[in-house]
Order: sequence, then structure tokens, then C-alpha cells
Amino acid sequence: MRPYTSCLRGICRIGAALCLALLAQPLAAAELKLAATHTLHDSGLLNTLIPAFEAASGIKVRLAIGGTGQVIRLAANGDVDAVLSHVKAQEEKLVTSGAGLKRYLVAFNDFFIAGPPQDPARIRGIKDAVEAMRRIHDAKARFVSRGDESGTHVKERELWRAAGLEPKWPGYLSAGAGMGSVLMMAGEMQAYTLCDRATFAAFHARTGLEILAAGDPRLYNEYGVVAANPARFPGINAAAAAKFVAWLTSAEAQRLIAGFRIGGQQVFFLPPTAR
Amino acid sequence: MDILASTRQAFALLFSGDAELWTIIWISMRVSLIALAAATPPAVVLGYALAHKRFPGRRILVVLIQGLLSFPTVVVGLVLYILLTRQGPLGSWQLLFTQEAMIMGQAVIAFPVLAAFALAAVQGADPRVHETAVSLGASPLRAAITTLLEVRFAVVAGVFNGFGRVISEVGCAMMVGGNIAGVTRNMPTAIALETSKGDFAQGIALGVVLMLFALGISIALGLLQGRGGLK
Repeated sequence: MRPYTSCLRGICRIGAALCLALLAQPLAAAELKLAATHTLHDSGLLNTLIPAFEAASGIKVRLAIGGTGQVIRLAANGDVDAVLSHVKAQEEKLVTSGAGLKRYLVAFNDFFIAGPPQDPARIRGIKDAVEAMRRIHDAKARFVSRGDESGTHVKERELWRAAGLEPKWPGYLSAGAGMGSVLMMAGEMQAYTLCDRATFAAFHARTGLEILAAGDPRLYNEYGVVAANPARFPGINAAAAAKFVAWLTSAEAQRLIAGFRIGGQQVFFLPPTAR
Repeated sequence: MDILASTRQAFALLFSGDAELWTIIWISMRVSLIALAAATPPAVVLGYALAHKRFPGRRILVVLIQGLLSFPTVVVGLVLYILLTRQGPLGSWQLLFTQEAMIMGQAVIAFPVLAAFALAAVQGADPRVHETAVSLGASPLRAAITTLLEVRFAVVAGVFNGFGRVISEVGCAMMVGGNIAGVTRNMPTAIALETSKGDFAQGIALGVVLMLFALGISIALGLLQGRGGLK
């Protein structure tokens, strides 16, 4: 009987130690909860920025990745310390509603319409994004929409509205997924999609899609950061959030952002004031 | 406060006959029922054979099926994706991101559950049923049908369990279905999406429907077993 009980006791001890270790982890003091949009993560930029920030500050970053709708919601509920996204209006609403402190412009790039090399709707080289969308609609070509209330989806809907069209035909597919997944789907189905430059470059080799209609000034994409307001949410790590915002707008981070390359191409550009 | 408001909205959605919501429920039902209809006959035959016949590799098969019971559905999704992608061996079928692909995935996921239940049911059957049938001159097929009819409640319990597993499965459905609105968006993938959009009302509404399904299945099972005991 003896050996069994001592064995059992040993197992209990290991179990208790494991539980303690698991419990202790989230209590680590220097930790920043950051919500960021798919595009930033899928492009690989965060994989460059976050380790650099962690090394510079000693603060560990815990990332929540989602569409803009989701990350803004996380910030509005005080579930994260800071949020990085790319819909200016929604970020500013965070600030005016008192959930966030101030919005800082971090970087920008652009959207364009990507599609299969065969280009059934003949949009190659068209600068006017609204005209390109109209041709896709008229050709009843396949188009994969993000459909997830993300910044990209919001931009896409603006284009349909500007064209005065209702995106409803059998080939219009609302995927409800991140940019990377939507690009993979569009590649599989040889469909068009509205895409940001960074994610496109990261997925280019795997999808076989091409940039067909780019250069419309309406398709500028601004990335902003907002720290949560400690007066509203006392539980948040305001010090870490402030450090992160300050670091992101510092010369070091801006150098990393401008130097970030995918397939030899610059995909994030610095805001005019920071250059 | 937010939860209350979302829940109120959810019930409003459910009872207002919201077309989008009911399309999602319909797609879920359709895909899962077809997948079960496709998987049940071969799974029951296999379960019966494993319980009744002695052949080389039988034990390995039994272990394999029991292992597959807890097989991660995302791995089923991954394998199916690799097979169905444009560059994959079955790429010419162009099935990726269609309901057919979801049906294939769910059939694979349900198969081990159905087979394991059929196996256990036949093993648990009174052996005299089979012996009597044979002694009365029944062909092997006829004897098999008699045995399976005898244990039908346990086999049907397997079908309900398989249904429970596939109707709530999100990983494989998301990967090979693609969660396309009105085409491959079912209840679990829709809930995942609504949550990611930060729009909880529809997620809660679908969650309520899914839970009602689970409850309904368990009540149906209870009723079945009750009657099976009475007989």
C-alpha cells in the first residue's frame, strides 16, 4: 500500500505545483495587453515591433488579434491596455467617448483591388477604385469580401456606396475572415478582393493573385494607436500603455516600420509629420 | 448591462424571423443531416463487422476507431484542405469552400462515433438473438439485420451523439467551408464570426438555438431509452 500512497502524494504535489505555475503567470506585473488588427499581424510587422519593444522596455506584450470591430470593442470595454488599428473614425470615437486617451498616427499604407491574372472583369490598370468595383459588379465576377466589420470591410463598403451599387450577386462572397484567410480564399476561387499592401505582399507567393487596380487616394490606410483611459478603467496597465505609445512614435520604432520589408518591398510608410 | 441588451436583441432576432439567422440554422441542419446520412450506413456495417467477425487487423481497427473518437476536428479540416486545394490531388473537383466540403468533413468526424456506438451496441446484444435467427434459417444478412434491430436504441444513440458532435463543430467547418455568408456559414462559424465582429446579439441567438438543439437531443435520447427499457 505504502508505495502507492507516496506515489499518489507525489502526483498531487506535481499537480499542485503546475496549478500554481499556471495561476502565477497572468499575475506577472510588467505586462501590456495589446489589441491589434489582423492586417498588422498577418503582414508580420508586429513580429518585428513587439520583440523590439519588449527588449527596449522590459514589458511583456500579450496580443489579441481581431478585426477592427473586435479590437475597438475590446478597447471600448477596457479589456486591453492599448489598441492598434486602422479606422480613424472609430479610433477617434474611442477618444471622444472617454475610453481612450489620445490617438497617435503610427504609419500608413494603401488598399488596392487584387485579382486573378486572367482578370475577367478587365480592371487592370484602372486607378479609380469605384470604377473598378463597378466593372467587377457588372461582370458578375467572383469577389471575396472580408465581411467582418474590419477596417478593410468598412473601406470596401464605402466603395460600393460611392458606386451606388448593392454588392449582391451569386459571385459576391462574404467570408467573415481576416485578410490573410480572405486572400487565400480569393486565390483558391480565382476571385477579386480589396486588400492592403502589407498583407498582400506577405501572402503574394501563396495566392498567385496580382495587384490590378491601385493608386486611388480614397484607399489610404492610416494606422493609429490609442491607449486606454485609466480614469475610466482603473484596472488597466496605464504605465505600460503610455510607454508603448511613446515607443511606437519614437525614432527607433519609426525606423523599424519604414525599414520593414516584405519580398524586398516597403509596405508601411511613415506619416508626413514624423518623416 | 451590455449582456442584457445583447440577450434582449438576440431573442428579438430569433422571434422576428430574421432571414439571415434562419438561413444559418438551415445550412447547419442541412450539412449535418446529409453528413450523418452518408456516414451512418458504412459506420454501422463496420461496427457490426468488428463486433461479429474475427479477421486479421480487427483489434487494430477497434483501437483506431476508439482513438479517432477524440480526433481533433481541425486536423480533419487540415487534411481535407490539403486534398481539396487547387494544387491538391482533388483540386480539380473545386470543392474547397463549398457545402460539399463541409459535408465530407462532418461525415469523417461523425464516422468513428457512429462506428464505436454500433460496435458497443452489437457487442452488448444478447448473443442468443443472433443464434436464434441463424437456427431459424436466417441468412447472415437477415441475422445481422435482426441483431441490429434488437439494439437499435444504442445505434440511434450513436447517431444522436454523432449529430451532437458535428452540429457544434467549428474548426473543420471554418477551414473547408470558409464561413461564406448564405453558403457555408453555419451556426458555430457564425457565432465565432459575430464574436470577432464584437456583435454579440446574433451570436447569443445562435448559441441559444445550439443549446436548444443539445437539450432536444438529450430529451429525445432519454425518451428513446425510456421506451427501450419498457418494451
